[in-house]
Amino acid sequence: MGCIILNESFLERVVNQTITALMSINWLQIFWMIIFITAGISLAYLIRLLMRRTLIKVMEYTTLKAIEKIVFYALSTIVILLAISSAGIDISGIALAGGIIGIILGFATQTIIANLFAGLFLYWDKPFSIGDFIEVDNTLGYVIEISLLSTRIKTLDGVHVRLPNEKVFTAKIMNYSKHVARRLTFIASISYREDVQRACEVIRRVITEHPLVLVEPKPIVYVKELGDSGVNIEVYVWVPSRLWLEAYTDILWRIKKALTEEGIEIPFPQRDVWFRTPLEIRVNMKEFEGVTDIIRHTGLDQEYATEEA
Amino acid sequence: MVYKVYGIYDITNDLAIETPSYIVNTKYNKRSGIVEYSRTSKSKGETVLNKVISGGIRLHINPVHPILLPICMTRHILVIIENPVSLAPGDIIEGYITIPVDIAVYVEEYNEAITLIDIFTEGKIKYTLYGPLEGGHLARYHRTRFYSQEPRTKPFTEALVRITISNRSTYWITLSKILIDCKHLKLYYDPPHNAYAQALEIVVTSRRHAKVIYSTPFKTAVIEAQRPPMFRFTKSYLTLHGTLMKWGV
Repeated sequence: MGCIILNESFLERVVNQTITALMSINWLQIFWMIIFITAGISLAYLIRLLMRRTLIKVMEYTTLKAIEKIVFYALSTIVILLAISSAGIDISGIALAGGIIGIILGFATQTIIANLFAGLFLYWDKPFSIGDFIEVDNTLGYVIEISLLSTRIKTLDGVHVRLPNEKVFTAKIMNYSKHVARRLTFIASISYREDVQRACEVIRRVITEHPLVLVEPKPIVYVKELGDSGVNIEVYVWVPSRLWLEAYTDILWRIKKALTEEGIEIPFPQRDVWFRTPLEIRVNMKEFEGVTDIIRHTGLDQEYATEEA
Repeated sequence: MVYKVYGIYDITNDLAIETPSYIVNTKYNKRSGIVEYSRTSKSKGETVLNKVISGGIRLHINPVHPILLPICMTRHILVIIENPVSLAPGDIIEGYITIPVDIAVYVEEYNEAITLIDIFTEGKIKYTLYGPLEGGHLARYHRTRFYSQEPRTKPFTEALVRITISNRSTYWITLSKILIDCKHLKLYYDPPHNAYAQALEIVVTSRRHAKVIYSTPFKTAVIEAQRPPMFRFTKSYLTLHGTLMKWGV
């Protein structure tokens, strides 16, 4: 067990030095420094409130919240440093220490800063907004939050995905909600024996009657190719972007139903096999009268005889 | 058969209101004060909507802006004029067109608060795009002729609109379409089945641009239709705004 033994002369020296230090402080300057810091931080807070009120109309709330925090803390730091400097305290040491800490933090938080700047660029670039249906980095879903560091997406199967903004910024982004309408493409295949014109008319009737298929841009129905199994008819329709899933699932089903009701055959894959040399198949009914005849016919009787010998 | 549909009905008695495609029924339970509302499809013979209402006293069946089915995804109607109107510079012409309407059912409570309980259509629903994909408007699609005299409208599917077209450009223009913003449009009805909108003024300023201004009702002794909750706004909003057609007339 250790203990510190303090003699009387040492204590006196510490007390005297403290009193001398306190006597040398200009308390009036300290008072004004506190007033300056209080006023400065209050001003920074007011600027933060003002930013919130004015920018909320043009900026996402989460982004705005992050930016206003950065502005508030930056202003507060500047105010504190100015106050200390005006009180006659040398801040060059603090600045040097701050610089070194900054470099260390810079290396340590490289990814965070990259995400932060990517977040700011995403804000300016605006490739998507909250509620948009997007595909980014093989993730398909609805944007639920855009913050300075990350973007959160809810996928169609209900999974919550957080993507770092750096990744989002450099990835290919497909925004399916940017335009009010979106094109859907279907292929309906009909048998070669069917009347293609009639099939096209049936498909046109279905898409004309469908409430989600837009009149403009005009739908297109045409024979795309003569396929392996049937005639492939391609259908282009434009639907409201918000209801593309409903349209996608409903239209193809209605086309299939209408074609079936009209008796138009939708073929399944078929393959004809052609032999290079003609095959000769001879059938002699007498040879099928008994099992022995079949064995003889296939040549198995000769094999059996050889084995027995 | 003449259907009596638009109007205000007392639901403390049992009702059966017939439209060309549906039958709307209400059954009042005197003991509990509850009303059972149902709408049955005539062709399929099945009930497509069933609701229980408590505290309601009156049913309002009104024409409604045709942009709420299958879901509300726009507030515009694009009316295509089948016989486009050509106007000389500075000329003004008056006439009539029709716009589509659907049918809305509201229930009024004891404190006169009104709520929307059902919307259905007797017509065909089609939408179109006005303008480019980026920035253009989705709009309910409707075709009409320009009539110089008041025509007969199709009951329950159309409302009559009186329009004034003025050509303020310095060259001939041809008007073949009109974009209407339902946010500004008021609907009226004259029981049992006639529907109207307020008069519209279409000011054409160039071959591609026009402004649609929403005026006052052109019929007297008509009842203003209830508005769905999303289209309730202040009077100043109505008077200050028109609809700009910037992607072709």
